[in-house]
Amino acid sequence: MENIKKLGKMLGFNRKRSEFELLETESGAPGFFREKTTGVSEGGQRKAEVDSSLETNLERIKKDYCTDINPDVIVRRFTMGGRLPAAAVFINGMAKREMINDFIIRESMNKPVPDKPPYAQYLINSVLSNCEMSTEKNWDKIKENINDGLTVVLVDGEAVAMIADTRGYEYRAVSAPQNEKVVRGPQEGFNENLRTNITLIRRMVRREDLICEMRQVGSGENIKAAVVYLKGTANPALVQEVKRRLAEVDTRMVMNTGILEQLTEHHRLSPFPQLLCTERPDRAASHIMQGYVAVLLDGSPFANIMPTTLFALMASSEDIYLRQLPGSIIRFVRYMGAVISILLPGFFLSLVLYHQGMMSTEALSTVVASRKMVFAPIGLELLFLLAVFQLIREAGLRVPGSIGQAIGIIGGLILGQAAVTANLASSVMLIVVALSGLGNFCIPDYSTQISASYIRIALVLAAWLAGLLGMFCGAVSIIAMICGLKSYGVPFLAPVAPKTNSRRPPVLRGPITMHSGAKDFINTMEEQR
Amino acid sequence: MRIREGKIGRQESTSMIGIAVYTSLVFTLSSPESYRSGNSTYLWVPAAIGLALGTTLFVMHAMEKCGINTLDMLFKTAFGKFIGGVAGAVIIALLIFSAFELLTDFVNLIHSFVFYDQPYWNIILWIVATVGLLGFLGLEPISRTARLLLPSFVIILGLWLLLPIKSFDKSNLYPFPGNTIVEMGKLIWKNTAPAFAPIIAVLSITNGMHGMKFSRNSCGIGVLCALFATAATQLCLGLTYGYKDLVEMPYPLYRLDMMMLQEGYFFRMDKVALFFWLVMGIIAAAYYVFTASMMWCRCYGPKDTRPAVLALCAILACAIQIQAEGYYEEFAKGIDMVDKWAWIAILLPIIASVVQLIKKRMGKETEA
Repeated sequence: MENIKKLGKMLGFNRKRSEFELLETESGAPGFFREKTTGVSEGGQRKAEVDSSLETNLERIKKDYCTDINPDVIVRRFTMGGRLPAAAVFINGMAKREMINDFIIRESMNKPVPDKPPYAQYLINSVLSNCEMSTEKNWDKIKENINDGLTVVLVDGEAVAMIADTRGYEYRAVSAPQNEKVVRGPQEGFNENLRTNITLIRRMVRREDLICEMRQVGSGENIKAAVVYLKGTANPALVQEVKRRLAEVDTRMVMNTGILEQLTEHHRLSPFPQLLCTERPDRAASHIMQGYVAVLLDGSPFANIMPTTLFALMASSEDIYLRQLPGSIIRFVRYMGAVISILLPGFFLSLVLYHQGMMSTEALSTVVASRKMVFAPIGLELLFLLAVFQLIREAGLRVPGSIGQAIGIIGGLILGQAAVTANLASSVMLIVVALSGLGNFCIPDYSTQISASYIRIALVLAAWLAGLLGMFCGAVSIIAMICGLKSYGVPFLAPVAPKTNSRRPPVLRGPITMHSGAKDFINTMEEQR
Repeated sequence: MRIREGKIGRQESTSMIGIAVYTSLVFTLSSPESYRSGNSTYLWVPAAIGLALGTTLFVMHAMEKCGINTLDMLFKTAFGKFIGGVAGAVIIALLIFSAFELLTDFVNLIHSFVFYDQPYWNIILWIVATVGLLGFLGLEPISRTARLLLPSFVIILGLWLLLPIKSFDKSNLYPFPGNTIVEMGKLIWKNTAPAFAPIIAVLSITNGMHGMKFSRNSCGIGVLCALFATAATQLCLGLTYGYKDLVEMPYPLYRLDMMMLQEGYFFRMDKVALFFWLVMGIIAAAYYVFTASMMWCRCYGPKDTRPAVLALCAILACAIQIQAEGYYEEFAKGIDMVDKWAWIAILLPIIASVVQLIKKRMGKETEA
């Protein structure tokens, strides 16, 4: 009986559905194959506090940071007001030296200090002239701040550390987005600095209810994340769910939003992404204003926006900047491209292999003539060309700019022509694969492009095995799986299936006035009002 | 309970029910029986759907009055646990039989017109596997797939019915109304069961459809839309072919495009339309399988529909193979017998509703 239960658990028969059943708090929820995870732990180590003896505190820093073999951590001893021993602790490169020199050390040495403790409040008010200062007793928090580029000032006889914001590390300047280029629209993208990214969003959403909650993510709690949303617009249950999933992340290595996406999504085997990843602040801002929640990660030039739907993944920032008619036409072409990309190779293979009667005599003879000398079976030929296409695409992506373009052209033109001449592939099949590849590039989201490629190959295999029967059965299966997919509790095909009350057209671009409000399917507070 | 029911909206439920009713009443009709002594399908098929709808609405009314949400509860409260369980099994059998009839017809259709050199089993596996996957995924994906694909079905059907418009001939409807009243009554009664199955299935998923009132509305809209679509289809068939031709025509809807007078692109697209019908059939069969599994879970206690879906699909695949290949004459006879006695499944919910209403009235009188 126990074994049967275990097997049932493995197959997921008794798995609880936690999607949008937002009953769990941030203390965590039961995992699938693991024990209950706890979010932000509040126990044990956190009790350690700063001592009133400067030597004891510095000894602790020396031990924790291994300063004898780790020269990055600078411990600068000095005397405040000519008599009070003190030390400034910071990481070389993370903190700005000029700020430490001018506003901490010089000021401390030159100004008088009180005769007896408490010193901290006096020093913050009258001696240290940094714009952002705070006090902290907890060692873990102090170390967190040092790691973050802040400077910790410790004074002998005071059991409190003073923390000055002296962050000044190097980062890339704001530049044009690399993968989401638009003709009309802002030409700036996120960079790797969390503060800059938040500022980019704040500059567009100048509202007092724009909330930016800072979180530590991962088991090491060393990565900073910002949960950005509009209070009073975003669904509180959605915000809570996002925070819960962030708190559930139990991995030390959360270097990028891509990793965070995988760690927070529910349908891990689904080919489709369950959140929108963008490098455009304007796109993130527009989603936030519509009631979505964005998560920014320090060190990542992307924002994760949740929830998402297929129609959001198929939209581009450009659509909204163009007038209604051109915007609608571009969107329609994009959807046509996606359909061609996914269905054309499988459909063509089905017709040629099983349902020749559906082709006109002229079309059939063209195909037969072009395949006359090709030795490989037609299914294999198609898969070979699709694989070559993926190869060229991957090679083009991985090599620097102009060489990448050259590889695309050489691969596309010369290799294709050579393959036809060498009777490895037929010209008709080459056209089918090229059309399908072009259609794939019409999909604006990179993850969705990859998903479309998988689906295309699955349908080609189905078509090879059973013609249109396989194609249709495969397509229905994929559609049903997409219909069952949810992103943070929101059905992936909303507002079409399920149909919501929204009058905004999902495929074509409606009038601009329709885009001003919140999306109804994310059930925003605005909608509820 | 982990029953993958979810919550579905009006458009999804309407699309799902509509597709199930339409496919059951268009593709499973037996041509020799239906057109034997005249062509009046455009009259009696909608009448059969109307009768099935009326019956179900009565059952829904009784359930609403007695505060009962699902069909299994109605059976259990009316007949007791054991007989209620048996009645539940009869409804499950009706649903599975409906899926079987539908899929057998599609398997035969595809075998006859597309893959005539392939063994039945190859076709069955593709179709039943897809049905199983949909059933496995649950009610939400089934209904949303139906909602998503409905516009394409409507367009294809519209094209299919209107393209041979030049071949329409009023004289094909002669003699009017085609059958005598008694014959029509018999046909209506016999075909109420195929119409009844998709409608009564709603009563096992009312919780997923936001309760009884919502289910009744969705059911009414879906069935009425299907009724008009079925009547239009049968009328177009009647206008295109005389009843003597129709008697010998196994799948008349598929043959409709053959009457187009000039060859063109659409003429060659018949197989694409056939596969669109197949998709409708798959959605309808998945709906039957899922609701049957749900009924099974509610009646007999398992808390997950998925094992039941897998088991029912395996049974379906084997049954279709046996029927299509004609392995056992006894099996075919058994199927005919079930077809003949399917009306019992209609009576059970009616009796249960009447019993429940009487119990309620007696309870009120005792209280007074």
